[in-house]
Amino acid sequence: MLQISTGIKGLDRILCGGFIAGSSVLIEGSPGCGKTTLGVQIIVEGILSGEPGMILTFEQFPEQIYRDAARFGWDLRAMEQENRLRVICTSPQVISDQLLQPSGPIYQLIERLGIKRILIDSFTHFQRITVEETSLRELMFSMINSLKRMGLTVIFTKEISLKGVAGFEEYLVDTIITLSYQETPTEGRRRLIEVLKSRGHEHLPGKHGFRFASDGLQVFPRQAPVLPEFQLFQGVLKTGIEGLDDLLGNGIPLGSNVLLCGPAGVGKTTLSLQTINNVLQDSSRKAILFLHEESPEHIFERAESYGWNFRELAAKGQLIVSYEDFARVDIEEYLYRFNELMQTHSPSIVVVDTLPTLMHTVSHDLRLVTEKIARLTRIIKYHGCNSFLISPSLYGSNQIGRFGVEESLCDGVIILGTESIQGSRKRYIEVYKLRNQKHVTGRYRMEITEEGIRIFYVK
Amino acid sequence: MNLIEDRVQQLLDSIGSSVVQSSLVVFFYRNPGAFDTTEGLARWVGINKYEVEPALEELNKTGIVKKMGNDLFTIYTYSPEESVLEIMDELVAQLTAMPAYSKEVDNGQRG
Repeated sequence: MLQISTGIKGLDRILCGGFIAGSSVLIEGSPGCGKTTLGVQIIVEGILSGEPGMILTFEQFPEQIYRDAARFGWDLRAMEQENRLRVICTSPQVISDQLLQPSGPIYQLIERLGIKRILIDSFTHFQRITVEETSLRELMFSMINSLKRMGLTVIFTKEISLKGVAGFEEYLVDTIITLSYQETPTEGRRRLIEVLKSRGHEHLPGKHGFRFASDGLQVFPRQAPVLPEFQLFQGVLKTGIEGLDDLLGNGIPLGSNVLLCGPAGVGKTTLSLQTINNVLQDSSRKAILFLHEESPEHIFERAESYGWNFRELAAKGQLIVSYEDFARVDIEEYLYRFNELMQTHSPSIVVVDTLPTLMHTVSHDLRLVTEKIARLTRIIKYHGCNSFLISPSLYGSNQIGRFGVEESLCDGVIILGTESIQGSRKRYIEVYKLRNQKHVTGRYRMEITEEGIRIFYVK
Repeated sequence: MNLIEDRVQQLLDSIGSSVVQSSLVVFFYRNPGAFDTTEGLARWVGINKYEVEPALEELNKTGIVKKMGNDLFTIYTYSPEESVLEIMDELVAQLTAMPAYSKEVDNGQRG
């Protein structure tokens, strides 16, 4: 059994490798959800990997298909000139007739060009021939068998049935992909893709986000809730901050997620930046900074004010900065890309600044927040990385994290705050929790100096 | 007038006066993968099939479209002969510039 790539990385992952070569695929969805674009992309990606393709269109003018494809950088006309593609506009009646003629022009063309993938857009138009379901079913069955006999992978699009019951098409094909929308309170409409069936191979169940990027559809599979069993990492990551590693019991155990909380202006970001700077003094190490409030430029300037040259670290590729406006974050897409970045760079430490802003789009639902933070922390742990997840707390609140769930999901909690001592406000730090490590308890004075953070604790 | 101009003019004289033929030529030129019956092509260009049928017959005679199949099921496809293919750019440019085409034809085929 040969699985062929769809050419869309995320979709291949959902399909656990791609389609089976020579199988039939149904892409269904409501108008405007991207059925034709997905179908065309699968054809184009096939062509780019050496599998010539054919597009049969019953309603959309080829000229429109060429134009829409050009938006994604696919030059279909050039592919046709190179005999790697044919876009044919025709009627269902013609295709139905051609099926009875294995020596007919369409089949001759398929053979002559060595077509391997064919898109039929859309099967719904066969209702022009008959609306009688038994006849339509027979027609589709013959068409699939006829094209499969020639070794083609057949992709049908279909306008979605509003009846809420499976159409006969769904029983005949090997794979079903459904495209849909979801209304969300904060993000507007999210595009979703779901594989409902994949005969002969596994697939990741559930709905996954996708969007139209400049080079076609990008699919963001939801990571399985439980990642493969991760190992326990031996050793610690030293922050290099005077007094802090001693408070932590010699450093932070590898693979730990540490929640860094406290009200605004107490030094949470500074402590994170200083740790990154210290860790990256070892040129073999990397760090990723995920920003959702302050811009990278602002952060670079702030680091520079302490003498930490983040621009140089970024230029050397040791520091990777990812900035995304929190109001636009699609958390599923984010987690997918987060995992990709972790895989690509294998950082020693990541900082998320801040956790509540990252969770903004799901903050209306505590169950979602819990699930997303749990997945985020598991991804970090899976990669054996350490993290600081920054979470500003509200003044006067007894709650540690903003949501009340993050402290139990994280391995460690460091609280930064201020207290009034003899009429003057002083900063303090407290290691509130640190799993698998004997740490020092209690509050200790902390100052932010010109060189960074200094903690007044002597072992 | 050179040979190409001469040939374009000849075709313009026979096709240009018919909005139906002009529409079909432009449609086939812009969608060269078209492969359909009279009824199907009538739908693509948005013109009554009874007007499309004789127009296709004429275009078949000029060598711009090719007729396939039999009396029961006839398919037309864009298959200009070499001598016609080399003048299609110019022919379509002139056809689409003609007032009869631009005023009367707007059936979506121009994308």
